[in-house]
Amino acid sequence: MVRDLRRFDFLMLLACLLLVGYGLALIYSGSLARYGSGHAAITHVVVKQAAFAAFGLLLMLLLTQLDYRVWDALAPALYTISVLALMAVLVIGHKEFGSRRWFPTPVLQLQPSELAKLVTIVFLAKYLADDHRRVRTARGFLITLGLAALPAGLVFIEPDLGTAVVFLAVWLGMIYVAGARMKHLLTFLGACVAAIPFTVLIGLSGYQKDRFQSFIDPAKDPLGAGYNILQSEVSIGSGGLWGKGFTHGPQTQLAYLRTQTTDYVFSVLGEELGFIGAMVLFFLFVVLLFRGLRTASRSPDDFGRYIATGIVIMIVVQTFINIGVNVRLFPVTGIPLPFISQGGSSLLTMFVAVGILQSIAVRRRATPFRM
Amino acid sequence: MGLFSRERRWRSQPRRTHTEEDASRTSSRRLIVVRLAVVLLFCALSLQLLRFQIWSGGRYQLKAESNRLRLVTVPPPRGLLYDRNHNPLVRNVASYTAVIVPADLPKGQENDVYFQLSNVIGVPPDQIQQKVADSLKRNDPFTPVAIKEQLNQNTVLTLAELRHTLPGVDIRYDTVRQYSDPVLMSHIYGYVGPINPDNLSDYEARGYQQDDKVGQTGLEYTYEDQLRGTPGKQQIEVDATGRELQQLGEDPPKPGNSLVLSIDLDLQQHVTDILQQSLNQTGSDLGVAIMMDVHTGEILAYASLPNYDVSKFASGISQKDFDALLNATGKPLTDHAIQDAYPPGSTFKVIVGSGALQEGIATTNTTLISHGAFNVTGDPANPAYVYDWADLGKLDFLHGLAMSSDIYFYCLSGGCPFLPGGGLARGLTADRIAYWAREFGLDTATGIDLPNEVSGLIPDTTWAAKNLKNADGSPAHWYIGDTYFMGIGQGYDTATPIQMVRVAAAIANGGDLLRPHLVREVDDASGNVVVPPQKQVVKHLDVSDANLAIIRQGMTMAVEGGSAATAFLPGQHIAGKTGTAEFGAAIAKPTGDSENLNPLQNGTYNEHGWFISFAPYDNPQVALVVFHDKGGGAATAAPTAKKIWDYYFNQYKKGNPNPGASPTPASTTPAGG
Repeated sequence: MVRDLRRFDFLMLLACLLLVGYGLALIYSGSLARYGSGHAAITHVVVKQAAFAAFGLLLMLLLTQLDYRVWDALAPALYTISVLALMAVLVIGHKEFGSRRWFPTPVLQLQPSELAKLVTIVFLAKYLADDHRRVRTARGFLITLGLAALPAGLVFIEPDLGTAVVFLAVWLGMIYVAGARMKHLLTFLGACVAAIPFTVLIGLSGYQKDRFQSFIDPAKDPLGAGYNILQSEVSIGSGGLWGKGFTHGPQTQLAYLRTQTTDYVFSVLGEELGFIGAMVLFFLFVVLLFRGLRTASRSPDDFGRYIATGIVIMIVVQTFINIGVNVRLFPVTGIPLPFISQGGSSLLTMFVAVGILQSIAVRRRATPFRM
Repeated sequence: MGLFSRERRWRSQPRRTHTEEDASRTSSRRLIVVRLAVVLLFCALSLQLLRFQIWSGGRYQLKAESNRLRLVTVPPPRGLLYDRNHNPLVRNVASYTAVIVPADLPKGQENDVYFQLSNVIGVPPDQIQQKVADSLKRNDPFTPVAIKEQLNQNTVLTLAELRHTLPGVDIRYDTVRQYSDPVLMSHIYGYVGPINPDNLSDYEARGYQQDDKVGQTGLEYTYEDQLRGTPGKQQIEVDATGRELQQLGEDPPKPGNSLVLSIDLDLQQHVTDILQQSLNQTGSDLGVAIMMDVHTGEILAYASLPNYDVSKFASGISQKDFDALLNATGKPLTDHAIQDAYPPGSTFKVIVGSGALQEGIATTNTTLISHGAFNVTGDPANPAYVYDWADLGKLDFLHGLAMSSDIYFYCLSGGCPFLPGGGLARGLTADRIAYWAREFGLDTATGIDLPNEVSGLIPDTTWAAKNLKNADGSPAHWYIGDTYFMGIGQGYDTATPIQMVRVAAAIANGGDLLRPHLVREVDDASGNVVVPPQKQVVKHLDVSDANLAIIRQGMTMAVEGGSAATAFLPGQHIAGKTGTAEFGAAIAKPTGDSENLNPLQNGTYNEHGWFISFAPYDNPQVALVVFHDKGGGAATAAPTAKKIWDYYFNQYKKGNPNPGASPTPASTTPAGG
């Protein structure tokens, strides 16, 4: 820390902290209807989330100190453990809302898929960095696909389609930046597009089909499957340019929104802080992501560059899917909004990710290798 | 973006080895693409937000408003009922109903709510579920479903606390009618109840909602428009579970107008008690006693027995209780004062007498002799005898009426050329009797302010030709005997008690046929008069004052030593006319009136007893009719009337020297002696 204080990316940290603070405020507003104002709300959710944030911050600083290259050696073992954990959660995990995603622990509901994302990023980065030519071969392409598809498949079975998509998007982004051939990439994307009809018909489980149908026509069952979709749309739409004011959104405060501190926390923002509030959020995300990509560009080695790329892709894809669900660009899928949504696993994962980014940043070359 | 051209260039240089430096260059180029992608993704989100928040913001604004704002109708307090002295008769009391709003029930956990609600209010969960399911077939899920009405105070408090953990459950405040005496005036009050589905569209056109309650019978029905008031509107804010959070705006309801009845509660109570006692004594199932102000048509007392407990209807009566009431002895749900017509018997003679005088058939000097019977044909070879109720001897008009001679009135009705000692060559004839009966308001509803009044029947030859058939279907011949029967209020004549008290009042007041009414005045909720007391004269009878005075004199004589002597009240001047009418199957021998003190003397108990009267005879104020389903005019009805008059003059009037029953000051009445 002392050694590389000059190179520590304070702007990235600031963006992070502002995002977390923004999130705490939204969680506070979103929890008023459920927990009431004052003490109850504080003790129940906001304080808990702030405690996770504080712990996450500590973790981030520790990881900044730790040379990211240690992950190179640990990657195969961590990857194996993650895959085993994902298998275990399918068997003994805690079932909620129809899917098994969590290990219940006294402190938080441990969601192995969160850490598995990071571990997969590290392992892919190691594989790609070990030999820069691998990515250009069909064999290498398929092996990296397999490395991503294994955890993605396990997560898909939970079922958690959204997170599975995140795994594949991260893989795609990483091999793209690592130099995969366009021929391979386009072939893969073409196959995906061709497979969509079959996936919708056969591959999706019952509840995913329901979600897809209610996405197409939420008004069909306005009090059932379509409820959240309609209410979040109304919440965000009614926010207008400036919003209804913090803690003054009727949709939020009168509990028309559900899961308004987690999956639909963006709807609270849309209603209470309006378009302007959303632009502030987007700006913070863009700053964070650009600092991440800057880290990738200036990484001392391929390993660091690919990790940084993977992390940025992970954050941007999660953000895009979460907000996309809120603004009806995607069918409902339970993905937390990075740094914002209430939830310990997700928040800690984000701080770990940023810690690794910082670890790369402080060890960067004095000048960018190109640009 | 240079990306594809780059690839293509690589392909055009196939054999060149891919160096680490190439990889770095590609990588950094592609990182720029990633930066671009990040910006593009956020632009896509921003565009969608622009679409929602800026372009369509107004529409979503409205949707959000309609989410949380509900416009609810606030039912107006129903108008109250008072007696003529403003004693409260019917009030409203609070009633709490447990309701479920199906739309607000938690999805998939409905049964938990039913179960918990069941624990509080004691309605089984499957019944609750059934009620909700039934309602959903007819209504949208936002229509509250009443689960249990008239919750007691403890249940309301328990439910009010539990409500916050039971989404979809609510308590609805309502009012129900409370009666100072739910039995005494049941026929007058009537009751309110849910709108009959058959009439729903009519009521909806008048601004009612499906679950409104409306007057079903009695004054509640007749004065529905006055009593109802104007519903208010309230805009309330509700949360996602439908709980009311706050009231945002209100257009308050306007309470209904109150009715001030012409009924005097004290008089009503005593008249009813006296009637009930006499019914009990004579074993009669039903009876009526009505007192009417002869100048205004205001009903001062209206006893129609049997009556029923109207409070059973206030909170919704069970079908079993309803059926029991419907079929109980004396048919308590029928108001026999206006909804049943009976042969009026000899009370009808005041009408025939008036007609005969007015048409010159008779004068006060017309003298006839009743030997108790006479041969109508005058031919001993082919005799057809008709009978009087007694051998009454030589009768002039006043005595014929006072003694209620059947033979005298047979002569007036149909003529009696063969009456020994000199008869009448011609009488009124059936059609003229019918004309006079209708002139006195029979055969038509009086228009009293109560629903379902019947008109009774007065036959004439046109009616007879249409309705009276022989066994082979040919029109039956109308015999002179038919005219005779008709003339003494028998045969096909029927009249309601309210019609007969009006006849008495018209004779008493000098010929004004009035519309009887129970509501004297309509006041708004603040007590301001909306509709002042008024009398409605239907018509002035086509009978001269002199002739009406003769009838009054005959009625006075009837009470003072005549056939109605059982109504004589010492010290008071009462005029009256009895009537005893046989009913059931036609009887071959026209016995007519049998003004016997013992009704059993005639060998049958199936006679109605009537007595119409007014007092004081020299300055009439009040008319009274008494009707007994089983009894006799002189035997039971007149004595009952006597008790009523006794109470009226000797107790009521002494307590209320000027009860304001009429716009003209009541005359000083001599104290009873």
